[in-house]
Amino acid sequence: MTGELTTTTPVARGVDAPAAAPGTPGGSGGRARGARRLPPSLVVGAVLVGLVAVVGLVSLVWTPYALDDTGTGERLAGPSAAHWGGTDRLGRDLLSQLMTGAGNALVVAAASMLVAGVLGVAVGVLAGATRRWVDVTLLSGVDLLIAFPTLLLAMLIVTVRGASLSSAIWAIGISGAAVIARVTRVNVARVLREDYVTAAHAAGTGWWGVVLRHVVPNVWPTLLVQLMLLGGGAVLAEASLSYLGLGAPPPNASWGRLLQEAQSTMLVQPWGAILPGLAIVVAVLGLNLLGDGIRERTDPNLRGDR
Amino acid sequence: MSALLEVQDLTVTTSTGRRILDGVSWSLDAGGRLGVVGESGSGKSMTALAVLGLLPDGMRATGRVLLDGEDLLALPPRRLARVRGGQVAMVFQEPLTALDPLMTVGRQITGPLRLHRGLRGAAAREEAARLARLVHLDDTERILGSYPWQLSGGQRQRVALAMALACEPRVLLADEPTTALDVTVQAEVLDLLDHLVDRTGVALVLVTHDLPVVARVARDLVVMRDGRVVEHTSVAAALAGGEAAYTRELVGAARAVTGLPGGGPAAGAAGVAAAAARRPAPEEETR
Amino acid sequence: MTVPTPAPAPASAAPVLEAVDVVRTFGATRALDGVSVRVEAGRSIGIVGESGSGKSTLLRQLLALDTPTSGEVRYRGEPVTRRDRGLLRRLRADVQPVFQDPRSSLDPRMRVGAVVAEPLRSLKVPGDHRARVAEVLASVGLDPDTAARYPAQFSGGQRQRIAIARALAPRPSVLVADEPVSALDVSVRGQVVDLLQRLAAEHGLTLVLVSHDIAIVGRLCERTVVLHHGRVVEEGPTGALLADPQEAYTRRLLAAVPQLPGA
Repeated sequence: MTGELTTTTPVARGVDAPAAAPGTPGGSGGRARGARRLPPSLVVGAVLVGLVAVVGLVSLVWTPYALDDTGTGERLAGPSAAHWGGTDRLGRDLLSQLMTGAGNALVVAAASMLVAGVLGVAVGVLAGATRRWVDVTLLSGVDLLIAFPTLLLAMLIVTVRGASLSSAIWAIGISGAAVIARVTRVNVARVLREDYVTAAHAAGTGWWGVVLRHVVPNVWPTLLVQLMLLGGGAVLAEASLSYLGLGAPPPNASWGRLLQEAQSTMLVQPWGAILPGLAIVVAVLGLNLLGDGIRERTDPNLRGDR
Repeated sequence: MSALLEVQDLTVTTSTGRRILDGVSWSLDAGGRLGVVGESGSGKSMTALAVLGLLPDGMRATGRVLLDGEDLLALPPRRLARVRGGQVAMVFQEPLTALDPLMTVGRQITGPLRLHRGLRGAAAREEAARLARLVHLDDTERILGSYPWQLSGGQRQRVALAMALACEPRVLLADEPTTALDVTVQAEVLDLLDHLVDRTGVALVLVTHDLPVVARVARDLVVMRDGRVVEHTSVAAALAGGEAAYTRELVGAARAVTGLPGGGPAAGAAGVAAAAARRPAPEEETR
Repeated sequence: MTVPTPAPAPASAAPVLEAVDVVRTFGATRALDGVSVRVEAGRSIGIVGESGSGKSTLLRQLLALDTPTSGEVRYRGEPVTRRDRGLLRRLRADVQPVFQDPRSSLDPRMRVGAVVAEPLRSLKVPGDHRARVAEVLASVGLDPDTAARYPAQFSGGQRQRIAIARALAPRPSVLVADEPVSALDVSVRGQVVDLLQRLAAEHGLTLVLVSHDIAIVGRLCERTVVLHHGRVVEEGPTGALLADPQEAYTRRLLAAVPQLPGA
């Protein structure tokens, strides 16, 4: 609610008369919507996520040093003009590894959000919009998955498929899908109970029409928020998996593995642990803030001069 | 003549500086029956909340709310909590939200008895049964042993009334107590309110959008609009043609909409048209 | 078993809508227990009842949004079934609902224009939809530029006008209104009742009004049906029913309506 409501009358009111002066209440509402400032969390979140994304993209074509370049052999050095982030115990450039790690984190976050989104929404819509026994069956599966720790699931998948980037993505994506499915189901069921859906049916709108015209527009903002939060969780989960050696194997740089490698040398060269730690914080915080910002931005109750 | 409950220049401001209530004043004598009427957004419910010190976060009340000369707005929260439920009790529109779903009705009534009146054990149970009979919950034993969701809407509202009366309050604040009920049940609950005020001498503040409901129970009337008091008068005077144009509008609208026509739709149509002609198109709040 | 036989209709055409001995059960509860109601073309009928009377269930039956457990609903003499797509399509275009609470009957994320045009799109009504939207918005007393805004920008009474405009868009002959004014402020109720009455007269609409509020039904409807516990308790011309109710329940209902003294 912005300053537009602070009018001289104590309460902003609409005029309910056929001869109401046209354009007065809604005209200002329309302007206000266009000119409304973006929520700060949205801006900060987008900047942080954008930063990680740009760095990750740049790492695909350029890093200060090659990942396996042990250079002059100066090991465990602090930040210097040559190595802005210092070097690790083999003398490799830390900044280059961080940059590559950003790409890695982004790929995992995006891909697991995709897996969770597609699987979760499909299951959630089916459960929320179809017959009761389908709902009950799907829901018990989902509950089982939610009760199952991501880490255990990851170990299971790694045992079957071997440690790889895609194993990590599947593990995180499937765990996330369970959460998304629940959120989707609740929201779909809520929208389907609204009078406007009944009105749509009575107006001849078919099942698909209702889903596309009413359910999706009313549900996606909530889902997007959930997906963003999930993305933050995915970055963390990937770091944990890599830390435990269940993530992408060595040629891929991962923040989690950087942390794990820096663990034994933390007292000698703390930057090795601080920098990947910071990177994780930036990415997770950014995604969470982005989620919050989207929620604020898309709430229809904040739209117009209610 | 000193009033039991007196609201003086009550103003409620939101965190953004918007005035929800603007200089609201009225008074209620011991054993009085006051109806506070207004349309949505008029501030009538906010007045009730402000009197009880139950404003939503971020809202600030100024002015005075005097109960027997003591300013409730100036009381520390702890003392105010004792007044609330003790000397001033309340009943809301939807009794289900006011009742704890996990507690039997009997325990919910004995709770305040223990807290405010120090009654325990058999004495508390006996008093709970007396209260249940007072609000005409006749199947007393069964109802005291039931959970709120096992009761009908009308029974729940009776339970809420029994709880409100448990501490022998001096003021009963009822906010749209019959709006969620069916007409026939509403009639019963209104009769009950009427009976309780007579019987216990509690002073009643009835907040509602429904003028005919007020007319049935209250004697004095406060008409609110846009956070201000439009008129403070007696119900009879308002019905005979209030001083404020808005009061007359409300009475006209209520007559046009809720009056039962004698001669079927034709007469009804004439009534509506006449009412529409009498008043300028009233403005309305977004609820 | 006090179901009176409906007064014999003028033997001409079949009623637009007719419920014939409709039973609808939900588990062990019989929401409708053998209800028969005839909705004659061009007339207005009120269905009065309290919560649990089955009036909302009956309304869903008349709108063909639900299937009876037994008995049938007929549209212009033909039984309505899920399978008869053609009939269902004609019924949808011809019978339009108005709901109680315009806050929940209008999709908050759709612009008013899209809301009002929805029946036109879904029923694939030929013609210029934008023009039709502007036309119906005007006929309910709203400005054409209403179409570009969102429902949240309007007051309750204005939103109910929008909902009525949506119902009128496909040029139905029957309006089924479910408690159309009980969520509105008292001062606005009269205006919406007026509007419904004017529209019904202008377009020769058949009006089915479902309400707990016998006073509103008294204003709008020629005939009234009183529902109680899923059965028709009493039925007849509204004036006679209000003036001289035959059944105890109807009398109780009438006595309960709060009235201003000296009206």
